This record gives sequence, C-alpha cells and structure tokens, in this order.
Amino acid sequence: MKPNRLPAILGMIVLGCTSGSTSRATRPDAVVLRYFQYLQRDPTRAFLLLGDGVQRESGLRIPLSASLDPKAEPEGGAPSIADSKIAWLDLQRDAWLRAECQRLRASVLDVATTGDGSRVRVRVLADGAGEFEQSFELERVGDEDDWLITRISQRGLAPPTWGAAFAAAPSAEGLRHVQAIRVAMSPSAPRSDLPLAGLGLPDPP
Amino acid sequence: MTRFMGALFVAALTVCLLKAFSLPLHDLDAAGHLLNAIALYEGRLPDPGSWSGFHPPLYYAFGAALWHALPEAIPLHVTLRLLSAAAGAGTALVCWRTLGRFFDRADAAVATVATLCVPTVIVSMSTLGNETLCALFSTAALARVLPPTSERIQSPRQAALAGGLAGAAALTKATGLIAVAVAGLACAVPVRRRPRAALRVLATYAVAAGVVCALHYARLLAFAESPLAVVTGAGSARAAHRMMEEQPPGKRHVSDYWTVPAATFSYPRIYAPGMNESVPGLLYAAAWSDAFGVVLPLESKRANHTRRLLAILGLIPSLFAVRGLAACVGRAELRRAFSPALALGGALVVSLLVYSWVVPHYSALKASYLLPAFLPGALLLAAALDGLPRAARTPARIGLSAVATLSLGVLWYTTA
Repeated sequence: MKPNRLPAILGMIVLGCTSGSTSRATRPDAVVLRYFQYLQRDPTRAFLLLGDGVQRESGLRIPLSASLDPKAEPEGGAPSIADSKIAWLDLQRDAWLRAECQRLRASVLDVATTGDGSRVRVRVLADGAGEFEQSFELERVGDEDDWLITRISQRGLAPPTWGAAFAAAPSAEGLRHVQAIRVAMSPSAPRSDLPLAGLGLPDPP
Repeated sequence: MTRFMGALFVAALTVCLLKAFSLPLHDLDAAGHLLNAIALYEGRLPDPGSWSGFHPPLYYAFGAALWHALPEAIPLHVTLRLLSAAAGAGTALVCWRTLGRFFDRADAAVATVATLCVPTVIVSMSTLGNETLCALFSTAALARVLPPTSERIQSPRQAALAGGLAGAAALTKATGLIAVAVAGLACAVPVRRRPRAALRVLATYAVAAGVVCALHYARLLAFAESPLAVVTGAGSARAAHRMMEEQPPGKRHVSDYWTVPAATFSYPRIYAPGMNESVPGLLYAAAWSDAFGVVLPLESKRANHTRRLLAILGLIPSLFAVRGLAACVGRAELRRAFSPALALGGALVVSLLVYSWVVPHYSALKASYLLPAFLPGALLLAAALDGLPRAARTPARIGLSAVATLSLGVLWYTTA
C-alpha cells in the first residue's frame, strides 16, 4: 500500500466511527456546497442530490460514445433517465475525472429563494486552470426541508476549464469538450492516460 | 497447520477490507450495481429495464440497509465492498465447517483457505458485486443437503431451511437458480424409495425456495420478452449488449473449448494472442490472473509480471483439484457422500460453457460466475489431500498453503 493512502484510510474509518448517520443540509446554498464536497469523496451521495431533470438534460447515455452524437437515437428514441443515471455513475469510475473533481473549489455568489424554489449561483475555481460560473436551480422536497437540484447551467467556460466544468456537471455537451481534450493529448499521451480511458469513447484520430 | 490457516484466513479478510477502503471507485459494472442499491436505499425495486436492473435485489437490499446504518463518511461503493468481503468470509467459514465433517481438520482448513486465496475469490471479495453473497447462500444450502444433515432432510423444517437458503442464493444472483435445482434434487434423493415422502420433501423445499425468490423472477419475466432476460437483462440493458457485441471473438468454435494457448501462462489477459479464442485458457486466466483487469491494470508491466506468476502458481491447486475429482469419482463412498456438491460444481461449469457459446464474447467468461462452486472446489482439494499417503500429506498441505500465501501476498503487493 502506498504510504500516502494510509492516513486517508485511517481518516475514513475514524470519521466513519465518529460521525452520525446522514446529516441533512437544509439550506439551498449548503446543498450546493455539499454537492461539490460529495463529488470529491463520495460521488454516490452527490448523485442523490440530483433530480431527474438534471439527468434528463445532461443528454448522457449508454454507451457513452452515443452521447457524442445527438443524432444517434438509441432503440426506442431518447435516452431513458435510467440510462443517463448509469452514464453519470459510470463516469465516476474514471481516474482523470476523480482528479478533476479534486481541483474544484466552489464559493457561493448569491442565493435567491422563492417559496419551494431556489436559485444558487457559485463561482467554481478549477485549481490551476481558471474559473467559471455554475448556476443551480433547486426544489424543496418532502416535509423535512430537503432540497433537490433540478437544473444546472454553466457560464464563462474556456478550454482550460473544460475538464473541471465537465467534472462539476457531466453532460453530453461537456463530453464533446473532453473529446477535444483527448484529441489534443493523443499524439503524446498513451491511450490509457487519456481522459475517460476505458469508458468506450471513440479513439482520437 | 490449522492455526496457520486461521491466521491466513484473517490476513485474507484484512486484505479485502483494506482494499475495500483504499481502492477508488473503479469496479467493473459499478454503475449498474450502485444504481440498484440506490433504488433499494430509496425504497424502490430496481428498474428491470435498466442496465443491471435484471439482477435480483437481495445483495442491494442488504447493501442499502447497511448504508443506512453506517456513518455518512462511508461511501456506498465501500459499503457494498464490505458486504462482499463479509459474504466471502462467511462462505469460507461455512465451507470450513462442512469439510470438517468429512476430512481431517487440517485438510479441511488448508482446502478452504487455498480456495479462498484463489485471486478471483479475493478480487470478488474486495469489489462490489453480488457473487460472494450468492456463494454464501449456495454454500449454506449445499451444506444442508450433504451428510449427515441430509439424513434429517425428511423433516419439513430441514427441507424448508435448505429451500430458503437456495432461494436466497437465487434472490442474490441468477446463478443461484442452479443451486436451487441441485439442492432440490439432493433433498429428494435420501427418500427416493418412498415416493410420498420424496414428494412431501420436494414440495416443502420448493415452496420455501419459491416464497423467497419466485416473485423477482415472475416480475422480470412479466417485464421482458424473453426468458433469457433473467440472465442478460432487458429494456435499455440492450445497450450493454451492443457494447458486448463489439468484444471478441464474436463467434465460438468447438475448438475454442479445448485450445489452451501459451499466453494462458506467458501473458494471461484479455486481448493476448489466442486468449479470446480459448474458453479454458481465458477462464483459467480470469480465475488466477485477473485477466479482465479488475484490480490489476491491463497496461501495467508490473501487473503483467504478477499475472504470469499467479498463472504459474495456480497450476499447483489446479492439479490437486484434478486429483481430487478423480478420487471423488473413483471412490464409491466419496461419490455417494458428495454427489450434490459435485453436481453443483458440474452444473455451474456446464452452464458457463453453454453461456459462453450463446454469448460469444470474452466478458461471458468471468470466473467469478463460478463462485457458488466454492464448496465443491474446496472439496476437491480436501479429497486430494485425503487420498495422499501420510508421508506426502504434510508437504502437500505446505505446498497448497504456500501457494495461497504467495497469491494473497502478490495480489496485495501489486494492487497496493
């Protein structure tokens, strides 16, 4: 075992033994910040904060390569939400994506809450690559003041932040940016080092 | 020897637990397993039309319950791996205890731990997937129908217990259906000369197994157009099929079932020359060398050295297993006592071979599909040790223990 993993393992065990069961974030901005925290250490919990609307609009589908071609309709028409969810979760297995998630630092710019809906705007700093803006729409669900993210949009993206933006909100559009990164990297990097290697994307020329 | 085996068992479990925590979310088919567990966590059954929605729900139900109970800092994929490790350890303990009824304590211990340390078992215990839990229930069901427990199988309670355990195996993974069939037949054999008693035992067994697992399969068959959906999925799982269809070889030939290429030992991984066209070669490499790259990276030189070493080490237990099979088939008292175990092992192997013909792609040959044959596999090793002269037995035990220790150590070192 690499020595640097030992503190992480011990930390996780100690945290696990000392923290209580799932705690709730009861404010929309806290839910959004928690989403970024979860992306870094427990993507499944980040996934649980996303409503079906986010998955539907992501345009992701299985196999992942089909997400790159909007004309490629699978059997039976548009991708099902289950397919988009599988694609989202499958992406989290990728080492490059995990590294991109670790670079994300989010800070809240403003929050606007009206009734059962809320809009949260955050500045996302992609460590060493620049920054972009990400907006979240949230909806109050249930009786316990839970909030669910129903829509995500991004602004101010530039090629250096494409990777981080994709990690912060995976979508078919972001996947096309990642494919561009793969093409740019492919002459010098081994195939296994390309972003999203092994997830069934077409090989760059 | 038994104490050393106990220590090795603890070491194997420790390795799996540490891997469960230390490895990032990389597991094959993780997305489908996670989505199923999330559905149960949210109080729903998995969508049978989704990618892995055809899998029975018991593993995910246990995983979801455990995730509810564990602190927030433990991610779902770690929770599911912990469940896999616990189920694998449970399988070994049931096996150990069962073999202890028939064989010398040291032989039972060595055979069990040598089987536990086969890389595909250790890898399955350290990753998320329903194989080890299915193995646990299959092994427990099989233990009920082996002597001397099988002599009490006429009691409705015993038959119901065996049926419930086999049903739980089938409610964990479709391969458990084979355990349901084999254990059911084995229940009826001791009372076969009394048709009414045999019918009563079978009916009790079938009701118990059916109560546990029938609803899942009825729901799946009602959703899907074909009974094959029970093992291959339906709905959008077709997308998975399309991906699988791109995998070699694409078509199976009869010669694939007896060809063993040199790469089985020199470069034991998928895409190596001749490997995808060899069913025994790829199955062996999947069992001993992580041919699919679940924990050993496919492109890494160090991992490929490890693969070679593990493939060569695997020859020793494999030869013992062949010797054990010859002993079980050749000696009437062993054949009589162990026929349910031999039947389960044989049925699993045959079904895998048939599956590899129907689905002619490399991923149909995952060795972890054979995990419900844990007890039959350990039984062959114990029978081989049992048949040796006293003078040869200690070196043989040491040899098997050394292979188990080395396999575990090398796997631990390379994935560290």
